[in-house]
Formats: sequence, C-alpha cells, structure tokens
Amino acid sequence: MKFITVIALSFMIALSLNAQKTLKRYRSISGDSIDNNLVEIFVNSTSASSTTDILKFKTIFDLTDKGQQAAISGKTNNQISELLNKKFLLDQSKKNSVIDLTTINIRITFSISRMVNYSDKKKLSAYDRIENLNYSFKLDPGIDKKVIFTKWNKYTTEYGTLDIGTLEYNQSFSASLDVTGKIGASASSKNSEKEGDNTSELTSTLGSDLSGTAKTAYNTSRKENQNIKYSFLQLTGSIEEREFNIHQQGTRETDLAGNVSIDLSVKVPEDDILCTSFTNLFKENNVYNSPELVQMTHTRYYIPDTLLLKNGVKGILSYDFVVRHILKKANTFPEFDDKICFIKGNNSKSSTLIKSTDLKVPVYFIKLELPDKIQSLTFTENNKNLVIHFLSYIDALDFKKWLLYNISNMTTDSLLISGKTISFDGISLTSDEVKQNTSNILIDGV
Amino acid sequence: MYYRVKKFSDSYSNMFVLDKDADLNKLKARTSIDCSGLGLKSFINPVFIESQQVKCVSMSGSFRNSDIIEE
Repeated sequence: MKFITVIALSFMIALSLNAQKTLKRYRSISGDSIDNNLVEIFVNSTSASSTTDILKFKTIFDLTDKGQQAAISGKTNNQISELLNKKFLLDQSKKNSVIDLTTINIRITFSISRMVNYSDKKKLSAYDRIENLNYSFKLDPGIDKKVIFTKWNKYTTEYGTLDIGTLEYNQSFSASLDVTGKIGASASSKNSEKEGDNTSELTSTLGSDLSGTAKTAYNTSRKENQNIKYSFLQLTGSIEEREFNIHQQGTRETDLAGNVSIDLSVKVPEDDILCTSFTNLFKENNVYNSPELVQMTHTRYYIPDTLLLKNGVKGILSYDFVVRHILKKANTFPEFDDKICFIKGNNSKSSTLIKSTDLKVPVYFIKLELPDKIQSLTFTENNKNLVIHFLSYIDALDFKKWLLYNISNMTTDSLLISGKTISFDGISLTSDEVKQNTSNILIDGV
Repeated sequence: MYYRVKKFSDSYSNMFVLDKDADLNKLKARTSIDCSGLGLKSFINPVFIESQQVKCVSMSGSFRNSDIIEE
C-alpha cells in the first residue's frame, strides 16, 4: 500500500508540476532553418482616385426625401423627367480657383500566402503558420523625387474591424487520492470559440484509476482568454516619405497568411492646366440660350504629371518572415503540445503601386479639322488664344451641341461669351471656313 | 509656326502647347512662362527642333522640360 501511495503521489506531483506552468507556445523547439520561398507576398493596388472631389453641380437626388417630394409635387411626367436630369449649379463664388488633383488615394492589398508542399510529408504540416512577418515598400530610386507618401488612413486585415469574439483556452488539472476507494488523476483541456451567437467547444480528458488507502486531492485550473481583436492590433507600422513598413506578429493559432489592406495617400508631381466650364447653355426645357446668357468660368487644375511618371509609381517590396513549422503535433487543438522549429526567410520583388493609366486625368477639347491644319477651339485672353479644356466628355459634348446650333444661327461677326471671343485659334466661328466644315468639328482628348 | 510643347513624340496625336511663335529665336528666348500654356492641339506632321528647359511661373518657379517643334 505504501508503495502504491508513493507512486500515486509521485504521479500527482509530476502532473501538477506540468499543470503549474503557464500555457506554453510549444512543447519543444528544434534548430532554425531557412527557406526564402516559403512565403510569398503579392501587391495589388486599387481605387486610385484623387482626394479632391470635383463637384460642379447638384441634382435632385442631393435633396432630402422631403425636398425631393416637394420638388416633384404638382409636376407633369415630362416635367419630372426633365427635373431628374437637371444639374443645379453650385455657387460659383465658392468655387476654388485652383484645384489640386495630385494627391492620389489608393488601397493596397498585400496577399500573403505560405507555400504548402503536399508532395513532401516531412515538410508538410497543415497546422504550420506564419508567426512573424515584416515587410516594407520602398519607392524605386528612379521615381521622381516629388512622389511621396503623405499619410495612411487605416490598416485592415481579413478580420476587419469586427469584434469576432473571444478565443478561450482552458487547461485544468485535477487529481485525487482516495485511499479507501481509488486514485484518480485526470488532465483535461477545453477549447471554446465564440463567434457571434456561435460557440464551438472541444474537451478532452485523460485519466487513470489506481487503488490506494490515503486520501488527498489536488486541483488546479488555468484559463486564458485571447481576444481576437489582438490579432490585428499586432499589426504595427511606420510611414516615411518614400517608404512604409508593416510588422505583423501572429498570436496563438493565428496564421498571418491572408490579405492585409492599407489606405495610402500618395502625392505625385504636378502639371498645370486651365479648364473651362459653361453655365446656362440651355433653358429648363432644353431650349438653347443665347450667347449673352451663357457664362464661362476658368479653373486652374494641378493634375498628375504623367510625363514624369510614364511607367507609373513603382517600388521594391521587401519582406522577412518566420514560419512556425510543426515537427510533431499532438492530436489536440492547442499549440502548447507541439514540437516545432522555426523556418526563416526573406525576399524582395518589384511591384507597381499606381499604373500610369490610373494617374491620367482625361482632358477633352474641341477641334476643327481642315485639309491643311487642325485648329483647337479657344477663348481670347490677354491677346492670346487659350484652348478650351473640359474635364468631362459630357460637358464637351453639351458645349459642342450648343456651339453647332449657334454657328448656324449667328448674326454677329464673332461669338462672345463672358466678354471673351470664342474662335478656332483665330478663325472666326462665322467664317465660311468654319460654316462649311461643321461636320469636322470634333471632340478629342488625352 | 514654331511651338513649344510639353513633350514631343511621333506617336502622339495631340500635344500640349506651352507657347508658340512664328519666330524661332523669340520662342527660344521666352524661357519663363505660365505652364498652363495655350492648351491641347492636334498636329499634322510636326518636326522636332530641340529640347529646352523652362521655368514655370505659375508653379512656384519650378523647372520643366519642353520640346520645340515646327508645323
């Protein structure tokens, strides 16, 4: 009996010593190895847009529900149809004289993947995970020095900003020695995962029965909650004018493979263009207004200088990583009983952040094609003929439509809008050269 | 007529004209200009003359390259 008691106590002590330890990240660790191709990151940037909103008019849909109801009240179907298509002009006095379109907002998505070798069972473990990831994007030195990162707004991981619940780890140990009955010892581990209203739970118990005469007991339990929110709080980073860095550290059972997105603002070198807008071209019922009722305003725009960025905005993505490779895994969900090693690696690749086509701001103009020359439509200012540029094809089309009507109905020698002469770079709109070639008045653009 | 354009290329159907003059020397002498320029123009068989750097008075005096062409 004494012998059994000693064995039982030794057994309990051994188990309790094991249970005393805090939850471990692994059972044992072997030497590191290097595999630079184990993790791959692809960069994809989308949503290239200027930070400045070019809003030149409002529509009925900008009104509240009550406003829309009041606006269409008492109107016929035709009037309502016209109202739905109407553009209400903004107060021109509040308009900026210079609009800067050279700060581009982009969303960059880093797709992080771990190569899985199914043909080599020694290297394969379905439970491997990327534990640490450090990546940086540095603008290509050849890119114009005026290209800089100005700010980033937020990180987003596939976990999003949702509170997806708490991952709860329970490890309990209990042992009892009942001399008159039995010796029992058990170790149990329990995992429960909550996501919204869903809960999944896994419990495993190990135990043995022995006979004895003494009576003692030992109980211990440990519970560790891991808020999933922490998994993206581990994402840290820094931004400088020509580079940014992101560091991701995995928490237990969180593989860093997946998508990470950041919203980034990039300032690009500016080009200068004067654009023109016309108001009051048409009456409410689409009747052409006379030139003296039309107003012409000019706005200077700073647009991306695509000549300096012919190949877009490129850079080098560099990253180093650590993969937690499981050499031998116990048949349990938690990680503390794994025998592991770390596989390290690093890599770099060239990536395009913004394509040159995404930087381009389309600009339209109206031209007259004659047999020996092509003349742009201009307005006269300070004895110079400046080309009338439109930022919208629809605006150019509206003005061309109005212009063609007025060319055929003009009674004056020249066309004046807001006190400025409109011509095809000096060729009067009333000239035979223009009147005989109205079919060659075209909209073009870059 | 001589034109100062932002960038000349045989493949461009339209080019942005910064300045123009019938006298090449006068055009070349004007090296401090408003870089919003005269505007877009379609050219028929333009001929490249030379490149020249200009100062953009409208953009804080920054410098930019330009090409002089003849049409």
